[in-house]
Amino acid sequence: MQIQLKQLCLQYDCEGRKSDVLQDIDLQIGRGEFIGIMGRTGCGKTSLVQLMAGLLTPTSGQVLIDGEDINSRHYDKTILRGKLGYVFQYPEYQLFETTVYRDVAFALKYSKLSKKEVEARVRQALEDMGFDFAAIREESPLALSGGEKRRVAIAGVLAAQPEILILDEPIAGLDPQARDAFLKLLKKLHAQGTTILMISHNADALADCAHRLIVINDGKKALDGTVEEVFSHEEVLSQMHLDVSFASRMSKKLALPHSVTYEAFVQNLKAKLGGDAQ
Amino acid sequence: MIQAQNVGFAYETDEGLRRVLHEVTLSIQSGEMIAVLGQNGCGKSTFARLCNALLPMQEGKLTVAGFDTSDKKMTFELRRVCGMVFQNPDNQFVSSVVQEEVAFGPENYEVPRQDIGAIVKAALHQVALDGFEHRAPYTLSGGQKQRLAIAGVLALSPKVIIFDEATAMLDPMCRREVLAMMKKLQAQGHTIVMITHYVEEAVLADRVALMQDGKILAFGTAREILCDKEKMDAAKLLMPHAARVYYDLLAEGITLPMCPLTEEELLEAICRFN
Amino acid sequence: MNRSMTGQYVQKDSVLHKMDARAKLLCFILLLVVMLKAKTVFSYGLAAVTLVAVCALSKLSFSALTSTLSRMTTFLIVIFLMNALFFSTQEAIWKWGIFTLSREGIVQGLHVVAHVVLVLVLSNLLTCTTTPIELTTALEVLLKPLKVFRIPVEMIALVLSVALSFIPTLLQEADTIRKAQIARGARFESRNLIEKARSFLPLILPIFLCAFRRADELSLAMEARGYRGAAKRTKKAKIPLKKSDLLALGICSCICAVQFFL
Repeated sequence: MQIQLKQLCLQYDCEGRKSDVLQDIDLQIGRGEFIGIMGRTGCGKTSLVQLMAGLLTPTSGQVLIDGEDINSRHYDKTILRGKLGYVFQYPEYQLFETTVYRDVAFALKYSKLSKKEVEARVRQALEDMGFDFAAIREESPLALSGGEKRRVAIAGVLAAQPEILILDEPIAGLDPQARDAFLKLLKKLHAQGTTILMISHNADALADCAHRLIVINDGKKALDGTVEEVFSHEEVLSQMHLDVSFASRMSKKLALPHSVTYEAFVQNLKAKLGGDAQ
Repeated sequence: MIQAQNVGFAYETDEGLRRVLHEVTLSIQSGEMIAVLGQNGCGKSTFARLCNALLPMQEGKLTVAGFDTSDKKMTFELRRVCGMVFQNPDNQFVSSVVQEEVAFGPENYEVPRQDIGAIVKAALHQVALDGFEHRAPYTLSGGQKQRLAIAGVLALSPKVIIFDEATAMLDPMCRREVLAMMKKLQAQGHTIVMITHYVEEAVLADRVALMQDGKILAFGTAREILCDKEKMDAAKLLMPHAARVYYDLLAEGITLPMCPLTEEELLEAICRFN
Repeated sequence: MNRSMTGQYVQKDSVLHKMDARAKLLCFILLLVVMLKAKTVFSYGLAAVTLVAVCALSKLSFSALTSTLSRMTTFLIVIFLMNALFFSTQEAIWKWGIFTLSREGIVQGLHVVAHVVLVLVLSNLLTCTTTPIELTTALEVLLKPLKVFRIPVEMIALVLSVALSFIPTLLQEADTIRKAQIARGARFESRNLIEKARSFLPLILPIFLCAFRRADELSLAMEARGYRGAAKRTKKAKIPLKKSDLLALGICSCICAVQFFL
């Protein structure tokens, strides 16, 4: 599944004046990519992914998914809903069903799957999120702890087995343990072929799992490239009040070969210090 | 400024009592900046709410700025000297105009009307929101909202300000804004307690109380706590990056001259190693 | 969420915007009477002239003034037809089943529509030139006499003010929840009525929960800042009415009095 954005613009009417949320965005996203999206709060990154998900209508320009314009009158958006999963910021606030099972199965309500298949998918999604299926299925989602609620809500999106997964700040507010477990799951889904787009402020997490980074600033695409390329523009990013990862920052200060992940940085540092010691 | 002696607390749930605080004992000096660090659900927010008497005391003794928090008659006075800033900036505003928002506290204490204007102005100035008097809070950025919440607390001239995960919903830039504000308030003589699960924020504190499962695992300087691998592992938290590098190199047989807390210290340690 | 809504405050620098909200609210009530009292050609003339004059004073654009009207066109047509077709009289021009069209019916319909239009434009004027917070404060002052009947006026005013400050965030939250459920495949269009009502559960339940959570957190935040009931607070400042406000009140009273004689 491919996403293509052509000359995409989005405007809001604000007290009679038009204000630009997004301007002339051209973007191509291939099958199986893992993309990180960065930008300050209010830069338009959430609007951008909502346009891709067909939840907002562009003022001008096109969103093409597998070559089809999703905003054309002939396009059946239910097809898109089946292919594309969207995890909103604080997804725990969307829970509403009486049991965890029913909430997770909500995404499959209109699918033509048999009862057995639905159960298999719900089980898979809950187990992927680290739950014991039998223990959690009849619990009330509203009685769970904050972290558990978030995992149930994400399971509710994963159950539809989307080809594209969009996540808006999924790790904000999570404990280090929960965060690491979640990033590991994303990597696993990606390895299984899911295209992933993740909005995050956490440069270290993005460096850890994304392959490509898109930086949005003031409604425009500011940078787009591999994580290494984007993080090598440290000054540009800091002007936009964005951080690079710890590894990227430190390897520059220590004049080590540029690396963005923590593991690569420690390897490089070890090589340097070990070499010096001998 | 804050003295806790064997403080315990349990919530009633359908399955019986759920203990969230267990024999918490700690002493916070006047003018200190303290981080209460721990995973979600470790009881740190409950502790904060006890300090402000938003929850009733059950076990032990807790005094804040000389007030016994179990003394119901003094609750009103206690809340004036112990302010609190909450996690979600959108859920703590009562007014749709900035200046009335700041005036809410003083009005509750029946401060004479003619004095309120000057108090509001001074509080907004302290958090660098001059000129925002007539704006609507929801039009502000996340960082500005939290600064407004701080101004609302400052209008009561408190001695202690507790930040209950006040930066958790902000982006890195806004977070720095609020952290800088905390440092500034400490310099002005306020005692600051920050409740957080971000290790990078705890680095800024003078002392850190490490919590796990309702207990204080350790209480000491930021360096003593955050660079202690065993304790941090026990609290299921990661050490700051710089300290992690130290331990990862140690495992490979490379011993840096000191365990660094910040990135600057890591650079220094590597320089000294060479 | 910055999209403008009809009848919302529009910032302008006009006499109407600067007017004291208490006086404005009283003038509004007087002029409301003027609008509703219109019956004859002359009284309609007076009402129309007054309204046009106030509109001119407000410096608002034509579209801002009539934005509510354009949204209500269908409603206006419906109330006209209701009055015109169901007016019981002997002298029917046209009759079909239960419908009777008569001259009196048409006149009655036109009257009702004219009244509704006048009142809509007038209310629009009030809400476009007064901020919600000014309105609630003014309401609190004007409701004060009700305290005699033990009605907690301060509390009502505070509740209104808190509700106002919550609306923007709640609207935003509702929008997010709607999108999130659509993204999960929720469908809000169904022919079956029960099915349709059920399909709104994923929308309404989280919004309610969200409102409760907000209320819960807000009450904590209020308590933490020493709130112990609306009565034990610094009283609102007493600002005397300006001469211009009194003048406006006088003029409106005169127009109102004249209307009773027309």
